[in-house]
Amino acid sequence: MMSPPEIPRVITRVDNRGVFICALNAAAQKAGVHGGMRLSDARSILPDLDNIPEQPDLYDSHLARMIRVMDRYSPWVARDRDLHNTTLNGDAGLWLEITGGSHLFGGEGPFITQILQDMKRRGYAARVAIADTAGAAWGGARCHPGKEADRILSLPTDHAIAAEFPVSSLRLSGDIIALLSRLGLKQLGDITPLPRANITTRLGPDVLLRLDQFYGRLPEHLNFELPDHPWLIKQGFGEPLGDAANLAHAIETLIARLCSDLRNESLGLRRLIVRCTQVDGHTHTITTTTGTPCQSETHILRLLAEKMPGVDTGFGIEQIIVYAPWVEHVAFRQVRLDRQQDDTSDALALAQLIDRINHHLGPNDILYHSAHHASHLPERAVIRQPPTGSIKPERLQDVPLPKRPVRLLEPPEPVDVVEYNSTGSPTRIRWRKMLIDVLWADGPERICPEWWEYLDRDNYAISQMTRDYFRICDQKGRVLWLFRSGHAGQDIWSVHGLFAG
Amino acid sequence: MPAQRLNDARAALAQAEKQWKGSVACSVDTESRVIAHVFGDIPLSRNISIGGFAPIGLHEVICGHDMGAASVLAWQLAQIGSGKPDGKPVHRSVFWIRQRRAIDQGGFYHLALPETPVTRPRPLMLTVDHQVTALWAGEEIAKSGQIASVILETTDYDLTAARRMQLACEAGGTRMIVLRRALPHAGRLMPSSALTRWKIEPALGTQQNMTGNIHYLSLIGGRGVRPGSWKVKADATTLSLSVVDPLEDRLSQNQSIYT
Repeated sequence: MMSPPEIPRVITRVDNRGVFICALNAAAQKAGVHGGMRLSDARSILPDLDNIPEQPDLYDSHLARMIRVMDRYSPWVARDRDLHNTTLNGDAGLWLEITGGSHLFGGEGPFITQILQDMKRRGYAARVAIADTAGAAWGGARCHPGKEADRILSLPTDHAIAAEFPVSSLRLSGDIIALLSRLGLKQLGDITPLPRANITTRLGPDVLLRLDQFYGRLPEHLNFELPDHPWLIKQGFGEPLGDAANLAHAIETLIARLCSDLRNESLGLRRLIVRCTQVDGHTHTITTTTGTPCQSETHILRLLAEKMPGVDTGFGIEQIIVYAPWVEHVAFRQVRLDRQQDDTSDALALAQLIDRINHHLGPNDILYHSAHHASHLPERAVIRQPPTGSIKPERLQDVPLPKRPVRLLEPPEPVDVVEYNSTGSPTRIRWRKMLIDVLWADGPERICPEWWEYLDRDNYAISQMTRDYFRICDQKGRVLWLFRSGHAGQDIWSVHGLFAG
Repeated sequence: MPAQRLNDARAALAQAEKQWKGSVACSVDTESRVIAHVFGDIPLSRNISIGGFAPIGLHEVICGHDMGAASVLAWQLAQIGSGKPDGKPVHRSVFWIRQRRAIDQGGFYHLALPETPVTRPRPLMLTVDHQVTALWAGEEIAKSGQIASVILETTDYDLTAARRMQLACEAGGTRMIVLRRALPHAGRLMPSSALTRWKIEPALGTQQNMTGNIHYLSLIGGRGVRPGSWKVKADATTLSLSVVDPLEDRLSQNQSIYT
């Protein structure tokens, strides 16, 4: 915790051995005081040392508040319980599982920067690292030599960096670290080449366990702090669920319960997280999102069914958490006398259909409404709008449009103009390796660049030039939309669309 | 002989009843207006049997080297089933599924569409990479019953896929129009279970006979369909068709020519 640096200040803990320092500020540290020191020894160094007795409840409340803050970055936050119990430096640690979430903050580097800024604003000093395993992240936060925003440890790639971490980054007890130090094993790179059997024999099982957890060879079960949330259902199983059918049945029951609770409050979920924890600590998380607030368990289960085959029950599932982090109020809907959801409503059923399609699509597949945007450039005059929610009109009333092609080539395809006539329009072109004789041409229609727009697109080079559009008809009867751009004497011709006639 | 005629009539009636059974997807008034708008004076009743344009089921539009006219025809056919079963003026959506690089002639540009006399639904565009995804989406949408029409633009697909689409359309009361290239299969078109199969190609032009809006529209097959072919002219403003006989010059008085 940060405090005014000019006053040396410590927090002390009382146990059967006496009064020990369990946290201290930078000024005290600078004067030579360290965690675990007796208060009487510290007073001999700094007679006017400010001493505050430890208040575990206050510490817990601060940490709980910090976990709620971290919920902004990830819903899965676990506190480092061992750290508080074993070290006496006043450190606290949090693990955030951010798998698939860092892109929302602009990538992993900006993600770290944002967390650090957030912590600093709240008056805390922090070190942050991102890694593939919890152990590597713990070590990276403390020992990574890079700058604050570059503390990202990707283990197969950054093996050399990890090898230089001190052995203290393995979260071992002080006795084992001292023993390792006496043996000359000071870095991870000194331990990893040693025979595994010898490590266990000489140093005990903890070193190998932590080493394997560091490199991801063994799982590490983190106790994530579950938010105090009404739309979270946690179910543990005395007998682990061993097959997919039992797992599906359990999830079905929990979802039905959640939907029933939501219906009673006239709420619908927009995002659902289902987390299955295996007995060996492995977890599998399924996240699903709906386009509109949803109360129908049938619909949600159908969405989950797409992802359920990916869940490995392993040695058995011992815990399932069903959590709806995003819920919205549902407009009044007429319910049937048997309390079942009335799915015949067109808008609701259409939204559910869109959800099903969206969940099935690949990363490059897109579902959208086309809308009209006030732009002269044909490729910018149509914009994509989300399939649900409020959208812009299909055609702007006050923006007249000249004749436009039925098919638009995006991006425009280059053509070679072989012959021109006296007016500058093409009479013979080569497109897609075929010679095309132009029977007639209609134009030009001049479209000037939109200099007032910030041009930052792939077709920037084309967009910034004036275009002269021609409608041409070839000998096959096709009507193509051709345009000329480029500087004087260096015309670039492209096909941009096809007309229906 | 009269018994034979009676049997034929009964069979035709049964066929019509099967196609229309319990799921009329739009009001007859709306449908007839759209058909009149799209096909104008083309005498379709001579070629399409009882039941006319079945609003439910699979239809195919086959294009040659020009996708523009085929896209418009598919869009206009999709309008026929866009009303509500009870005839209310609310219009259901039209899905346009496009597989990238399937036909390689760009994407549908909705700003080219003219305002039609019938209020048209707003299209939902779905662009996918793979044919499997396109077929899955088409089947899912067709059998959902929440969409009036689906336009599926994909690479050539087989009879099994066509049959599945047809069954999905019957299950959901949906009209599906498949846009496909005219790829010959052993000298013939790939077999299909479509109710109607259309082909539209632009008429070839010469220096003496400059076309551009003249097309050959063919009804090349389907269930209970007598094949027919028409030389039609596309109206540049309304994108509707009319029979050309004799062939008219495409150029209006106020158009300039550069050749």
